[in-house]
Amino acid sequence: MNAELFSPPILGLIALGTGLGIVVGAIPGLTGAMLIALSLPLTFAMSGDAALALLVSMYVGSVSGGLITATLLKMPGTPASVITTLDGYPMAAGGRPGRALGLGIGASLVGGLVSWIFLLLLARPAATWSTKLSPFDLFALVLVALVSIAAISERERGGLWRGLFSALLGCLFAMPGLHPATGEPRLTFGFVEMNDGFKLLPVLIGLFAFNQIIQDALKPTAAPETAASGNRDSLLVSVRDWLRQGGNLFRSSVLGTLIGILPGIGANVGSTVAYGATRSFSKEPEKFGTGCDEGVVASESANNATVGGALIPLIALGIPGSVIDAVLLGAFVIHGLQPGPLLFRNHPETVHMVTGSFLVANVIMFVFMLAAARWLVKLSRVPLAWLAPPVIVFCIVGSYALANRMFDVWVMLGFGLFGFLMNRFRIPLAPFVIGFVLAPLAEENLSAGLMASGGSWLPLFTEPFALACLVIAAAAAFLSIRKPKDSRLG
Amino acid sequence: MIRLRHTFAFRAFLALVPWLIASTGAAAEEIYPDRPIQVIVPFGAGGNSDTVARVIQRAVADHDLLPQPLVVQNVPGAGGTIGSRRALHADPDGYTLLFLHEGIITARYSGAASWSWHDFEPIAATGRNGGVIAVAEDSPFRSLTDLLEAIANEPDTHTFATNIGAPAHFWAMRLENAKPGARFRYVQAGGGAARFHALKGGHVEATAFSVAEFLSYRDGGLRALALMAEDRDSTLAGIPTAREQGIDLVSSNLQCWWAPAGTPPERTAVIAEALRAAMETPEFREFAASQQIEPLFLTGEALEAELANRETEIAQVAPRAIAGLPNLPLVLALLAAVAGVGAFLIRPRATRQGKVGDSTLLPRRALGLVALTLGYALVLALAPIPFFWPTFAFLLATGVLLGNRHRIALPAFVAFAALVAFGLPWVFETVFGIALP
Repeated sequence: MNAELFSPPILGLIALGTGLGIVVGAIPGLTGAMLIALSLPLTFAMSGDAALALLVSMYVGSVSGGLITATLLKMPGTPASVITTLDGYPMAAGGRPGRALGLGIGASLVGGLVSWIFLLLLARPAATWSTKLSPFDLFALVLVALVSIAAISERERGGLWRGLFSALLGCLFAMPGLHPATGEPRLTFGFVEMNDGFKLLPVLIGLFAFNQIIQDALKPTAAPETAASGNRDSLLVSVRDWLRQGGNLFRSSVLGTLIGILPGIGANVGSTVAYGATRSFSKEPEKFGTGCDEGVVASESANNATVGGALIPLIALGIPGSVIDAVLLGAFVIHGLQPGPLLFRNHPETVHMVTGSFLVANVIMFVFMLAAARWLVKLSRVPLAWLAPPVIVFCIVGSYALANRMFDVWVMLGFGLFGFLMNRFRIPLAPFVIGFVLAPLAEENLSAGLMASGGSWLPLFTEPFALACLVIAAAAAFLSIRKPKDSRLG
Repeated sequence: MIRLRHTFAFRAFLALVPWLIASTGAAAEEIYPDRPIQVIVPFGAGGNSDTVARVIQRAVADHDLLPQPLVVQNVPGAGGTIGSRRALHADPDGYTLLFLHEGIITARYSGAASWSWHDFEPIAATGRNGGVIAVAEDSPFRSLTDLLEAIANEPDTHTFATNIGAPAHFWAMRLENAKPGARFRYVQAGGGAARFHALKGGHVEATAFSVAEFLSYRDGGLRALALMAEDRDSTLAGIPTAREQGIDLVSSNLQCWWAPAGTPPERTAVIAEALRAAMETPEFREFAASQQIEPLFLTGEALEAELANRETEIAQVAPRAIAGLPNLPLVLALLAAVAGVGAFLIRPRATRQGKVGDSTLLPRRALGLVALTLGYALVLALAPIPFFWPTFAFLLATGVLLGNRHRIALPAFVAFAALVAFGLPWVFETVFGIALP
């Protein structure tokens, strides 16, 4: 660890970056990717190491900040915290917002620390391992995530059908735009603006933030629905409860890290797969979705772990694992640094700066969020009149700033109304968003695999990793069909 | 007295009018630019094009090469066609420019765009990136000839990681043209990092990189078979050119600046001169050297001739249709229809809450909120008024609408609304340099 990391200016930048990241991650409509892309030109004047410390801490902060609004308002600030709404929000609405935040913040820290250990010790072998996975392997992995999300549905009559319907609709809405393999426009209905399809951010904040505000406006209470904090609600989760989550924390963090390493797969898949796995291993799967500890812990530890995971191929090979990593790659290049095997030899201090600031940012994130949580909890009691107008403005400005065009604003508003209809027909929203995220990944990898094999599907069943994923997906699908019957009988 | 002063002021004003008109007219004629110039970069922040544009932008600002700054605006998506279309339809007043490489020609020929470079005024080319054909270091192919032999003897068998519609794709197709019957099996991978990943993992046999990309990944286990240039490169001394191996393949990627068709030539000349000067700055020279950008500057007829030449080369090859991919939208639509029928038939049990006609709900309030939001977005999209006023009005109106039951503390809310409406554009425009609608 180099001494420069602990110099006041660098520590100040890390604190600034983490703080800004948390704020931006928490505000629906603004995302970490946007903050980092917009801040990149501002870092030109800094030294390379200082710029990376700032940007990496923004990354850590933004993935963590999303949990605040996801649990308290059911408006995930970042795509990675969609899964957190499933259990975090019911827990907060049930009168334990402090506990929901406490669990989420603690789990985020553990996820960050586990992935930091991977980053420090296993960066090069892990990065090399990730390149060995073929497009078919990645396609099969995405299938596992798709099946897990469809299975995460309300424990209710027809719940599985509605979850499945929602996930498939999400996949379908991801289809317009240029074909990921052939580059031909499809389902654009002649609108050139549609050539880029619907972007994730406007769809996400339309469905969750704008739609949620309409729902809240419809209800007679002036404040968003929350019960008064119970007496037993506390940020500090007992040691015994943490120990009970030990296996879950470890599994979700490792899964999150490994999925983060894979190119382009990202935090959404990490939290989805970890949540699905935790639910499958649980003795009481019916508790999931009602505000259980396990759900919050799995989602939050996994999404923070993907950050460290995604940094691994970036610094070890120069391959960005996510949108944010692509911007970080730009930061390296602008400062005359080239990530890759040579970075470890020629600029070891830069490698240490990245891993060190990742660790420090996680700790600072934990301290900041825990310190602020007492006030954050009150966010859920802010009257709608104060909360809704600025959130709508943020949603509109955020959608616009994504690519500097009004089209994304209309998409956001349209999906807000669409989400309202889905709620009316009791179709869950989370599978829609996850399906929307996963379908392009699945198609890209399937197309690349088929193009490489000359149209043959056989490698999907002959490559061990792909086959293992298919078996897991089939098992998860089988379990989700079988379990509701049991719980109805029991 | 008052009348006198009034009339005096009025006469003075009248006397000034012709001068005012003349001077503003002259200003429009002579002083260009008198406000910041937007440069559309049709790719995301941090990418190769974005980095180059920002280095030039900084050189222009640091050396006062233009009286007003260049402002980079990222409009990513659809292989650069979303951004180039924005520039295509922008006012031809010299205040919106486009920075886009040869992709402007290849997008036309791959079918992603219906417009090409002829629909813009070319301002200048500011540098050229060479390209290499590369394989993994443990590959059996030792030279470009080996590779070409192999794909001619066993067509459609040897895989090539490509980025469909982008220059890397056209480079490979021009290589195929060098020998009759030679055909790669293309595998879509994407940008340079993704192509490196595919090669490194052994999922494909060959690919193409820009020289900068190749240098950055070389130590990860790559071997270049050929440089697609007239002469060898001093930094890549060990790499033979394609011509040395008897294959006529010379190609590179030209980075160009464009203005919408109809932009006055004296304005594009101002920009071209500033760009030329920016390329002379030590900052740009240093950056170009580190990124293997050949600091070639072209403008006017030389540029048009070069572009026409490149277009002829690109037009010689035509992308083949890719068969054997599933029609995913159709499959998904069928599955969704089945699931939808299932969801419709197996309905949840009726619950206490949540019917539309429920008297405890406030449909008019929700409807009002939606209407206000749509109205606000429409005003932002259509009316040329500053961001502050519609936002302030929208915040107040929704606040009052939603707060009527809870009697909102109005003075505090007005201050709050003003703060948000003022602070947001300040953060975006002053700190980040993004213009809000």
